[in-house]
Amino acid sequence: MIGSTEPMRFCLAQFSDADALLKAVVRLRDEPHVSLDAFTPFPVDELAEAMRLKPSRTPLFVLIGGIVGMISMYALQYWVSVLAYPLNIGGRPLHSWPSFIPPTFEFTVLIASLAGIFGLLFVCGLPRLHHPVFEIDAFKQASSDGFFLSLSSDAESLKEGHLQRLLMDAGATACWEVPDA
Amino acid sequence: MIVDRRMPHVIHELADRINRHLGAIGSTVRRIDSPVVRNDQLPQSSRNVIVLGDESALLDSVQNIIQQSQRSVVLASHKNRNAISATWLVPESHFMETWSDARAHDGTASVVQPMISPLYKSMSAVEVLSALMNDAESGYDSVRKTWTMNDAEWETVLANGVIPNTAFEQTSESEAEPAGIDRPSEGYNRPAVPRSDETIVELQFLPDPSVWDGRFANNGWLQELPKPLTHVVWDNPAWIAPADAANLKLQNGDLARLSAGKRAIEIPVWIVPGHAQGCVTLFHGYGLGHAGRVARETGFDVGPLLGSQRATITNLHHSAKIVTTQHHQAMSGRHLARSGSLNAYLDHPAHPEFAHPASPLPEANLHPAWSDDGHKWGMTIDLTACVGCSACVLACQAENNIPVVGKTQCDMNRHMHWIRVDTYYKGSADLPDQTLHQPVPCMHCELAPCEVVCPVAATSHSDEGLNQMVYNRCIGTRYCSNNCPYKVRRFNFHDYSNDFVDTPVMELLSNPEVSLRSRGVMEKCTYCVQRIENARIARSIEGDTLRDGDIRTACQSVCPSAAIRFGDLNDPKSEVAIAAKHPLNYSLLEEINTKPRTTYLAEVNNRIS
Amino acid sequence: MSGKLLPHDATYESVTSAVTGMTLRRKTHRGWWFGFFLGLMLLNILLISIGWLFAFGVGVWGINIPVAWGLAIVNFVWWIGIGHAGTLISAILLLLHQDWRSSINRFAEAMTLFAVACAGLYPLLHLGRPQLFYYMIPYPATTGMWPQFRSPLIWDFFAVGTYATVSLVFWYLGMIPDLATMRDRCKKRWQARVYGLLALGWRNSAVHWMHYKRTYLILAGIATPLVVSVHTTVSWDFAVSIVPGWHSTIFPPYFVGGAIFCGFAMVLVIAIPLRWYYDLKDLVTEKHLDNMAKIMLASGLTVSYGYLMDAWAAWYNNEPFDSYIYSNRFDGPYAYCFWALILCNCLIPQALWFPTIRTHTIALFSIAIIVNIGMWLERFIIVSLSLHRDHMPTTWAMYYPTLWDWLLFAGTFGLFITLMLLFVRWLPSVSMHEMRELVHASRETAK
Repeated sequence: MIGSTEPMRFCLAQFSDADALLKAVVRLRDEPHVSLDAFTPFPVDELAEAMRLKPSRTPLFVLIGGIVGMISMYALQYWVSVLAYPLNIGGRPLHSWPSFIPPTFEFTVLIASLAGIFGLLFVCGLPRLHHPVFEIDAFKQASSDGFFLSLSSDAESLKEGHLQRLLMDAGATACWEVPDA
Repeated sequence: MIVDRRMPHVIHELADRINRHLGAIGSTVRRIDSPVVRNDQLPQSSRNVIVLGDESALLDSVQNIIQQSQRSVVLASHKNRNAISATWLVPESHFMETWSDARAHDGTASVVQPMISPLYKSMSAVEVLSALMNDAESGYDSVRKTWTMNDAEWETVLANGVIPNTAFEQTSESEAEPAGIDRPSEGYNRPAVPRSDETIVELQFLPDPSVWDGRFANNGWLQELPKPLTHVVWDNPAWIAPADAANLKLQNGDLARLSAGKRAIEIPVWIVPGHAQGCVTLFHGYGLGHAGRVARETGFDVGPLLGSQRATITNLHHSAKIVTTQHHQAMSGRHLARSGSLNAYLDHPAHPEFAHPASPLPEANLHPAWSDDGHKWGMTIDLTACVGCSACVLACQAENNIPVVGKTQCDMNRHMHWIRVDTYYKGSADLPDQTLHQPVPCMHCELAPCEVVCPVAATSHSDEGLNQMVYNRCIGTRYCSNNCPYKVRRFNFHDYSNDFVDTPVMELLSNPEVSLRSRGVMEKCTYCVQRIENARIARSIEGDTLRDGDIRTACQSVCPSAAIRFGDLNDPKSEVAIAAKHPLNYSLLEEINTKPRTTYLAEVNNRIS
Repeated sequence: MSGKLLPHDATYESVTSAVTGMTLRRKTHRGWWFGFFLGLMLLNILLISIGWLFAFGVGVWGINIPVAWGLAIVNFVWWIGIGHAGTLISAILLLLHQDWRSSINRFAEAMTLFAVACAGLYPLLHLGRPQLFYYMIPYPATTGMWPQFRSPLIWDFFAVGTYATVSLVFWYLGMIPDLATMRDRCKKRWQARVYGLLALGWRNSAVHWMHYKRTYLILAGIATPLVVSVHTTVSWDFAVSIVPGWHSTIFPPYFVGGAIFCGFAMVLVIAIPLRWYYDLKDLVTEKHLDNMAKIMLASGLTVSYGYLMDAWAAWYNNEPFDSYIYSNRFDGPYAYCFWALILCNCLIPQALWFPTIRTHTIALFSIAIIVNIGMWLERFIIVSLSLHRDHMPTTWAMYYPTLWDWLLFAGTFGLFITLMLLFVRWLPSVSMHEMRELVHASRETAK
């Protein structure tokens, strides 16, 4: 998968629309020694299925963050109010648990959300300002109306132009090889 | 039976008859020849004048003499009217800086002892007189010379404060009973004011309740002390009856012109429920020139009308800014200051109905109570005894370094008194049946609502039950004040204490036992925690524990009628514990279950219902 | 439904360039400069009033004892309520699959964020000693002291802090793909660099999209209870106390309803001129206005129900303090505020029953302004008027806001306007990738 290791070869192709891209993905996904990624101007749900992506792990990060936030905040409040500096506040019990719930809830949400966004950045390998796809000018369309598919491979046995051929055969309208990928 | 000296002669005679009838003369009532100070013996003019003391600065006659004299020496503590026009001004020592002597109204002589040595190069009246008599001796020597006694006797006198057996002799009981007042209502004819014209009113002159005839006008504490009944501060509006005000379309603070012949004053009025109709009460002591930097531009001079019996009142249709610290005086259906008749009390001695009206709420508490072992400080305030004099307010102010904030801040409801004396009128709004005074300090609630809402634990409970304020920790959310049902918390909206202590000598004003509060900090009654700790330390030095009566809060120590009791509620023999168990005892706003440590004894009166 | 939300000839490119054009192609217009100047003027007023406040203390305001909370808290509650509509649109409507939210969620979220920024100023500024605000943070101090967690203000501190953070995160997360679009479409190199940095190198990868959508949905799921909890917590500042008029269990739902009410009103106040000025009638259609007006009507009825219940409870519990507070609202010295509130919040919004009013921009804009005024009055009545006559009649007093109270309020508008104008000038104010998704969906259904 792109982003994890630096590929030897990297090839990018443009497709006319989402359907064409989807067909190409289905066709190329089992190609040996090749990993592929698609680029679309908006999330296309079918692509994830077609690429056989595992479900995102971010919900797990959120869950862990939430549990950590919840336990740590309640524990902090208990420790502060009962153990660290016990004070008679208006005759209320030291362990005024109903009062401790709102901060616990808020902190749960806070840590869960932060775990969510940092988890997302982590699994996406972002921020990463440099990437081979940015070498190609036409790729700028990926953020408005371009549908792209990239193939990369670090297999040395792969022949020059193999990736390009695969892409053109899959119905690409244009194809580029990134030179020093 | 004692009668106000402003009462007509016939009432005094009636009281005298009652006293005779009761056999009080000679046992509880002593008659003496009271010394009379006469102002009418002043010369019309003189070449050389010496004026001693500040009091005469208010007399026009003295003023005239000084102005007509060639040479004049005035002994004055500050630039008063006399001092301004005198040839020489001699700075006068404060009475607490000097040795002197004095007589009480019954004649008992006492030695006036200084508390501190004079702050400035100043002289007392005694010293000035002795300087003029060529034996310029110290005040101490003069006083010693006056009262010849040996050192041991002198020490005793200093310790006791009074010189024994110096009271005036009782006059002999030879006077015959005054005749002709068997039916007093016939003898007493109220001086009738012609009410054909609603605009003519009878005038009554009184010294101001806090600054008196003006001699204390330059005292910020007194200026800011809410005056009994009206709670007006920094001013002396004329009192007027509600019905008269309605006739003249006058509202509180509206200016009226009072004219008697050629003399007239313009003064704002204040509507006082229960005030006699057809009469206006004027207070002197205000509006005087050169009254000092505090009293500058306060109040209205009623001098021009002095001596007049009646005046024509007209509405001027504009108003002056008169500031009061209590805007509402009805209880609005709440059981705040409770009172009832003696008969009602005797009907239910164990549980008088008026002290404990049926509460819809059961004793409710969701969580276990905190232990109250050890001392359990509490206070009771007896509403029967309280006369509403406000001495407690001033004592608290002096003890606890409470700043004076000025008229403008008072107008914004930001006065700082830790204890206030609420006034309630019961009955009709115009002619109330009853006036009740209720001193309200911090209640030191056991379930204090203020503490729970503080986000930084700046207010919490001590294990002796004090609701304590940690000034250093306070960030000033003011939430505690919002949640205080008694509204006894005070907030430093500005840097009041630094503004108040604005000259080096003012620093001497502060009680070193109590910290000054900075801007943005909440403060309130502490039950004089510094006195509690000092008493505890004093006892522990003796290797002893605190006893009832060791601690006297500032408000308690000045209360002339001993209405305030303070002590340990866990000590069953303490005065406060006994009062707290009294059937008349009740908690203010007990229905909201804050469990106050300050409780009240309901007022019992002689009314026949 | 999407047929009404989009023009039938919309393409990926057309919806994208309509948005990027607002910032990249269009020259800064005179109208924008005028608004920006106004915003900066008001922002200066904010800075001056804060300076004055810090120099002389909270005594420069009209607050007193008993009314220790005045305009600062009123404005805090008002601004934070306004913020709620943004989160509601972006999170709750997302969960409810309300596609029409796509074209308004971005600036509604921005509105949330800026409103929370304005709101967040007040609790800090209203402190007597604002320099010590950090005492509310649980940190190991040398004094050994900690915050007091029973206080609703601490709950509030966590709620508003969390809300501000999560709103920022949510807003930024939604904007990352659009920032990438900006990066790819801008002509100037420095702009590309700035947008590029902000986009974190987003490259529209299908893998990223998969993680992104999932996370965004989860965050929306988290933000939904959060937004409800925030105004609930704000209402607890009052409801947990024993002040008559505050101590009421109806407060949480009634506050949340009020927040939605005035939040949607504020979205309309911003959307209507923005739509007209940037000619976005294709993106923010009459259908959008109609939907928002309906929500406003519904939440307005909730709020009216709250008033009714409040009055009923005050009468029913037969306790002198509460019933007095309510009768004082009807005929006390501030009765004109109460009747103005009834007019603004209960009566005038009934015009929204008529479909023609709901799509008539000027009428809708006027009603939205009136609702904002009404909701401000509601907070004034709740916060300050409950305090002015509570348990002890002897302590009753009036509260008159001073010039500095009003200037600080005006100043926060400066902050809001300035941030809002900078936002529409430099950031994509409509979610482009969601609009493209809508175009895609409409094409799919067309097939």
